[in-house]
Amino acid sequence: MSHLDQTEEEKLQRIKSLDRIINTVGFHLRYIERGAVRNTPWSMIQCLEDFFRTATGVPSRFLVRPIWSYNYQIVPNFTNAYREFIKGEADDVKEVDSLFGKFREEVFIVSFPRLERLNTTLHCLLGHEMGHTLSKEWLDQNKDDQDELRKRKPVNPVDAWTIFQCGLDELVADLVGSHLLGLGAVFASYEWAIKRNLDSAPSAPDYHPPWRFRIRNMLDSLAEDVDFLRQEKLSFAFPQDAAKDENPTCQKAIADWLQQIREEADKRTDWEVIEKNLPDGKIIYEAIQDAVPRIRHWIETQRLPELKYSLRSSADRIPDLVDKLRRHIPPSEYGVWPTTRAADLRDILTASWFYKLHRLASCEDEKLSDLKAQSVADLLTLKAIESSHVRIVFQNQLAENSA
Amino acid sequence: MSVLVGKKLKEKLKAPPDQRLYVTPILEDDQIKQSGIDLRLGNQFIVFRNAVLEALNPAMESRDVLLQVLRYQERVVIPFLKGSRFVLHPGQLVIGSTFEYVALPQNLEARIDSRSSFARLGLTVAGAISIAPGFKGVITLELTNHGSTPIVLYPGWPIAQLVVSETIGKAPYQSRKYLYPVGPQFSRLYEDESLRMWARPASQDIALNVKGMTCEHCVNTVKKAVSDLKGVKNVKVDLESGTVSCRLTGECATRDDVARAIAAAGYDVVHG
Repeated sequence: MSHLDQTEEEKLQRIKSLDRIINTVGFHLRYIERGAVRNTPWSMIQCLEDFFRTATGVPSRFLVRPIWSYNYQIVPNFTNAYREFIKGEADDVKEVDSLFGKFREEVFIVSFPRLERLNTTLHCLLGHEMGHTLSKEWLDQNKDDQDELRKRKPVNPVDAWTIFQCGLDELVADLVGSHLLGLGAVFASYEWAIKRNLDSAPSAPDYHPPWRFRIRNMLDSLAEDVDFLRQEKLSFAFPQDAAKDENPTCQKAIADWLQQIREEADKRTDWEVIEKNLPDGKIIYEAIQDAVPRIRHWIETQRLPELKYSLRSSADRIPDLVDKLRRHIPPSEYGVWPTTRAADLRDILTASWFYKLHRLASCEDEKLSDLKAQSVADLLTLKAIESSHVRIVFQNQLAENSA
Repeated sequence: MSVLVGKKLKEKLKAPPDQRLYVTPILEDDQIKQSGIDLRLGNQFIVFRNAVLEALNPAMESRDVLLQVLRYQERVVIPFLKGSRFVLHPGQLVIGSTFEYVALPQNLEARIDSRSSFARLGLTVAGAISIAPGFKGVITLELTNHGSTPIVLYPGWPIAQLVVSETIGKAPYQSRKYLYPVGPQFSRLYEDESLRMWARPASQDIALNVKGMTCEHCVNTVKKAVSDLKGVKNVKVDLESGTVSCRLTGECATRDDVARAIAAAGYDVVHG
């Protein structure tokens, strides 16, 4: 039926319906505001998209946007939510399905704090944000945990279940982040957390676990990497041409930072806060803690078995990248021409962290102020991420083309 | 100085780190030609908002020029996706950069040449073509369309050639203006103090009549207030005639600035 043939009442209803759609969608325009590429850590985005697709197996697109509040966030795919909402308002449901059928990729909105746009090492927190997309999967698959929780006899089972799920939502994301990005994820979480209260009590509506609890579990999940660094006495000697006396500085800087994180994580003050502030806190968090081995097993053997980032297997590649950063060269490739290879995103981020810790400890870079030196390192890291990604994507096509 | 040919360039690309010519990443070995290395177009551009300025004057105070520059330029980033493109219109100047990051050791200098096939379309890629020994960074390209039709540019195209020469002796990189850029850099000409010297007005001696000065304390107060102004020299205060005289070097302070400083110190300047 043509809209012109509608009665006045039908037209009015239609206008009201359109108005509701516009108002709802209009509210979401904030997601694309200021989302111009130049306002984002642009060189990371395509690379992260590809990495995310590989990690989750989900065809996905990121809308990355800076926000003024100091926070990282991810809004999960909203295409389905829109589809259902517009279906409810539309005359022709099939038309809506046909229109939305064209969206073959899930769209995630990733927000990062505007102030940290170029802080590449901190952007390791994006691993956690990616992890949130898997948290939901875990929670959906483990509804039986509610019975387990009930057996522990919480005073308020409904609230306890909510707090339990919220806690796991964060913890699964943390463990995915550290699984994907290794120590870089822990370092970034700690850097983020020490500016806050490590023992902040879980509170409504998000009930985030205390940072100390989260960092302890992330660090425990990377015990192999930590042991490797300890046992191997950091085989991260820089290449032989680097000044010999600088190697211990780098090793010591990483070891000191890890030690600091370990000591903070080992304090149990978070448990005191949990017990004091939540009626069923002890019960809930013991249940969460008991779930950790299962979550790790799920991530490591079922969900992301191919994507565990291991320092042991990357140890021979990273010194070269750190050395390049020291020389103010983007660490986009391993080795020397003509046998260079594109560097892995995770190696680049780890090298960037190691270089940062080394630089802070040694006050290296007499040419630049501390702030400027870090800013240069961040930009070189961003450039490296882009260059290696472009190389991976285009090199084979170029070779095919010239053949 | 002699231009390095392909074989020598390859040797430099795999030399020990301190003597190495870094060009990273080289996507195809074919980029290394007989007498240079092809460089690709990067994906960041600085375009100009001509409407916001009547003129760009690098001789202004650096802070003022910087503010002008921030208003004048807009950074555009085009994702490295197949089909992403940038259109350069006739007569338009855009600042772009190479995709490759280049690091020259202290005994090599380089220049950027337009590739002749692009030049024949009316496109020039570089005005300032010389790259000093020790430079590290992507190379800023001044892209200009001299033709009469728009030219479509795609990030990733090999658009320029790096021609490398060996220097006689080593020359550490001196400039602090363009350190380790990873994208196009706008001109920082305003950091050149010598430019301002040429733009300054000539020195000028001025004298102002001031009321309210009654003692040596007043003389010292006024003298200090005026002397503290930047670009003021030879301040003299004559209590008897009530005259304050000084020389304006043209650098900064004006006659009005001097009058305001005296008034702020609590004395009346007689105008007229």
